[in-house]
Amino acid sequence: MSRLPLALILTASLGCPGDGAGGGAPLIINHSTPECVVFGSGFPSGFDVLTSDGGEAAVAQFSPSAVLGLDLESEPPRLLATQGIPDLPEVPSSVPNVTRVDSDSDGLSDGELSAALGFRDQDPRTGNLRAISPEWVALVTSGYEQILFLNPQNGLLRRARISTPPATVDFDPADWPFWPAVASNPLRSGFSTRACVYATGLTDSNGGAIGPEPRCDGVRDGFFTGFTADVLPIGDQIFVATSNLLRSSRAQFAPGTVLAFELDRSVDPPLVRPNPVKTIILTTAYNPTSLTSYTTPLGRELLLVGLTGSIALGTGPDLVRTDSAIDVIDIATRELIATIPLGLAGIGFSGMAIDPTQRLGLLGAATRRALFGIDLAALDDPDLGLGSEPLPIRLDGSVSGYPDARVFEASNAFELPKRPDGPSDSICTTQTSVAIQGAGRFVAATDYCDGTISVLDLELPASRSTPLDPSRVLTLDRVINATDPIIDTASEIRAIGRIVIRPGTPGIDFNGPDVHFTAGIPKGAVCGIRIDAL
Amino acid sequence: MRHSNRRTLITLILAGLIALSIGPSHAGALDRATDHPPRLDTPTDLQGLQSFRARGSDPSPPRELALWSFEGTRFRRLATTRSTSEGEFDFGEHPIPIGTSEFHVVVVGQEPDRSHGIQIERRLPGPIVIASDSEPLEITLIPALVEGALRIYDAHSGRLLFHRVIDLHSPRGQWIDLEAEGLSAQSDWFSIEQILDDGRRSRPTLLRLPDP
Repeated sequence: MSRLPLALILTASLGCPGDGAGGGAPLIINHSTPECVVFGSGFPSGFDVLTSDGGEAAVAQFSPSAVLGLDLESEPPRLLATQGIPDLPEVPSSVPNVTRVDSDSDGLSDGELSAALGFRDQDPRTGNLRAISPEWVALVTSGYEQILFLNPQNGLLRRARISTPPATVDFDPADWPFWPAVASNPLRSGFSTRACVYATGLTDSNGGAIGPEPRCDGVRDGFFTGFTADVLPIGDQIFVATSNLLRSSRAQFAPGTVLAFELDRSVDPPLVRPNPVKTIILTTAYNPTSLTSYTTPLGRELLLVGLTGSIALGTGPDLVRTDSAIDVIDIATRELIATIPLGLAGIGFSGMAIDPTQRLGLLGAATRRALFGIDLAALDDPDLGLGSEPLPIRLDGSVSGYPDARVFEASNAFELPKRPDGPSDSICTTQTSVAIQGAGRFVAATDYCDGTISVLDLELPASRSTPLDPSRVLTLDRVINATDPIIDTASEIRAIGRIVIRPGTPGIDFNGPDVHFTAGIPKGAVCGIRIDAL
Repeated sequence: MRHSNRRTLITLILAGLIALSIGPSHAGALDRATDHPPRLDTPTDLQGLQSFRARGSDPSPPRELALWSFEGTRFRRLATTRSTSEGEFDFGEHPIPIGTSEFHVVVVGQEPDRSHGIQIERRLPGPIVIASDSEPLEITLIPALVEGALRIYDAHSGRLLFHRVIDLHSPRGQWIDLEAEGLSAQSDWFSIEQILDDGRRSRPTLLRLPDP
């Protein structure tokens, strides 16, 4: 008989000193479920895998701003860095003996540069991040609106050459005040996402007309982009979504925008510049919060823009003020070719999960215990958006000759179960996020308030032309109480955010946990849990 | 007598099982661990860093060691490694959580205790202020930890102007209308801090209102 099992049996039979049950001795947790790495502040703002085997990931720490690379094979996850991970660098400010953050490495305080250019004096606040390579992530920051480059292996800033194109019909350098002079091409660790947007007939999410912006040309109707929400590097392009919040208390947003940048990785250091043609794309609905790339079976590359719609502050039902949608942009032409309206869904911020057959796209929710979904086969037509029809084409069954791409929308959402001992919906408005296992074996959906992960079975028809039946696509398999719910008596890790599932077969392709998620209370954490793995 | 013999027999069997399960080498290791515990080096100069190197010396190497953190009422195992024959160990880099953190190293198989740990103190950062350019008097405060309360002071006089308990259920931060709360009428320069349930206070975040 092996000594270890025997020792475990004896230990169990003799009682476990220090389990905290009988007195003041501390509780000792050898292998907790989940196993978490705990770091700086609460609420990690971004989380993305770095490697194709899912063994490494990067997480964005909100305060102090930092990117931490993690080895997910380890239990709990471990830092990839072999040296101390530094804070963002600081430079002397205009106030004597006071240093301020200079994240983009231009030698100037970010906040003071903002103020000097007519914007609010704000330091960068980290948001979502996306991997460009295992050694390079693009990190969203707002306040000081930009995309920052860092190396998640050591937490250090990375530099690229930032280039401002000469003026074209679509691009005026004067509309990009944080960009360097044309042809100067300095080395920077970030690039600004502040830009003037012009269009006629612009209205905000409350129906108010948007007039000229004094800091832009002051003549044409327009606004400055702000509240950078997501970034997505695709090949030689980088797309950025800005949600353009105007006023929180009124749930007031300017129209959403997607900005297009070119990324030249054939040179060292790489070069980034605004794409001088079709630089800014206006979205059909308000508040773009996520970007997802999708390639059709015939190889057409599309950008799927998750539009949450306007959401009011507070808790409880009815926070969603305007419709959600998925906008479809042809990456080659940067043309907005289609939109999939989802009604007052309030789709989540974590992006779309796509099944391995590329048929179903699933989204979480920002204010309810539900999932939403679209049928990606509706985008298969290689001529979609290339004809003479007005663009974007609505793919909700209302346009003759075009399919209805909606599977789960506002009035027909996939409802997730409520945890019996979770907080009431009136005091905790939940958020959900979703991931699909790489071979389609299961779907995992998180619940922020309840601390649960719902494990769902996925059933898709063999034929791509067979319509998806919303009542059969997803079925609830089980609910895992992954963390404590957000209730006053809870003390353990809780407030689940984003979730990822490792590709491959547990026990063969990897030995660690197969599912990882972020948590925000009492401190920020990344936790591993075994759902399909033993 | 018969009962006594049976008790003795059971005791002997149990003792044998325990000896079998632990083994002489492991028992010796436990003795060595107790007598010569491994010790973490106290990190120096962590200013400006988000992580620290958990390494130190082991007087009875080589052996398997475990790194633990003590989190208020519980120990949580963070990592394992093996000390080198030269008597050194290195668990690599580990994040420095906010507040007071305790880290301990013990021989694998032993329970951690607080007798040989190190403490790392990281002061709570000030709340982060998020505001749009179009409405400077409406701010969202995001505290570093979702705990305690937010306080706003007049930065000129130090007078407390505002106090609000942090809402645990609000993932999008704590929204405050400086005008509606009467704050913008009282000052143009604010110092904002978070105070935790145990009384610890964050660094101040300074907020100066833009000129009207």
